[in-house]
Order: sequence, then C-alpha cells, then structure tokens
Amino acid sequence: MGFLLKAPLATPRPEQAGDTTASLGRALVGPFAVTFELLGVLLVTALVGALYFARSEE
Amino acid sequence: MTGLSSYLVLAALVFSIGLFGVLTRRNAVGILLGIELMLNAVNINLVAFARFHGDLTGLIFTLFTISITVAEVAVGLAIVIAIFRVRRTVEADRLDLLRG
Repeated sequence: MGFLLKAPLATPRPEQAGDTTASLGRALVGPFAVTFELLGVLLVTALVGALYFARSEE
Repeated sequence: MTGLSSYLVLAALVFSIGLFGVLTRRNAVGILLGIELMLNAVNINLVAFARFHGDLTGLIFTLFTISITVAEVAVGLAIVIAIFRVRRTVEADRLDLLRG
C-alpha cells in the first residue's frame, strides 16, 4: 500500500468555508431535494420489505 | 497535518478487511458485516475527497450512501431471518438450493 503514500496527492487541505452542517442542510432541501425525497421513499419501501420478509409464519 | 494519502490508506485497509470477511466467513451475518465494512471504506474515501477538494457534494453523497446502506441491511437481515426459519441455519455453504 506504499504506492498510495508515495502518490503525488499533496493536496493542501482547504480551510472550512463557513458552517458545514448548515450548508449540508441547505443543500439537502435545495438542489438535492428530489433525491432526498426519493431516499425517504426508498427507506419506507425497505422497511415494508423487511417487515414482509420477517413476518411471522401464522 | 494528516494528508489525503493517509485517508486513502485507511479506506483501503478497511475495504480489504471487509473483502476478507466476505470471502472467508461462512455465516450470512458475517458476510453482511463484511459488505458493511466495504461500504464504509467507500464513505471514508468520499468524505476525504470532499474535504480536501472543498466540495460539499461528497458529503451529501455520503449521507445518501449511509441511508441506502441502512435499507440494504434491513432487507438483508430480514432475508437472513426468513432463511433461518426455513433451513435452521445461516451458513452460506449450506444454502445451495433455490427451492424454498
């Protein structure tokens, strides 16, 4: 794994631009709002599917 | 200061441990845990690149990936429970029939 350490990846870490949490929240209800909603649908579908598979045998 | 390479090495290590677990474990739950480790290695890469490039998109993708992982684990564990009810085992070597 030494090739990773020797790779020319000397990217300087940029300074934090403002509040990351607030920016994440704004992005989730802004440009990624549709994806965020689809993710909610996916989670509900997964929950229903898990309940279906794990239902009792009666 | 920790460089980007350190995060990539950490992610490669975590991914390797997960791949080793998937390839060697016989228990279905152990295989699921290995898959989880590999997905978390991907998350480490996404967060590291997002931080070092000053781009927020990687962090958002990480949030989405974590949510999709939760859904995958929920369905996977439910399938494991259903298999255990029928076969009384979750050993992957003994699950070689598609018939229920």
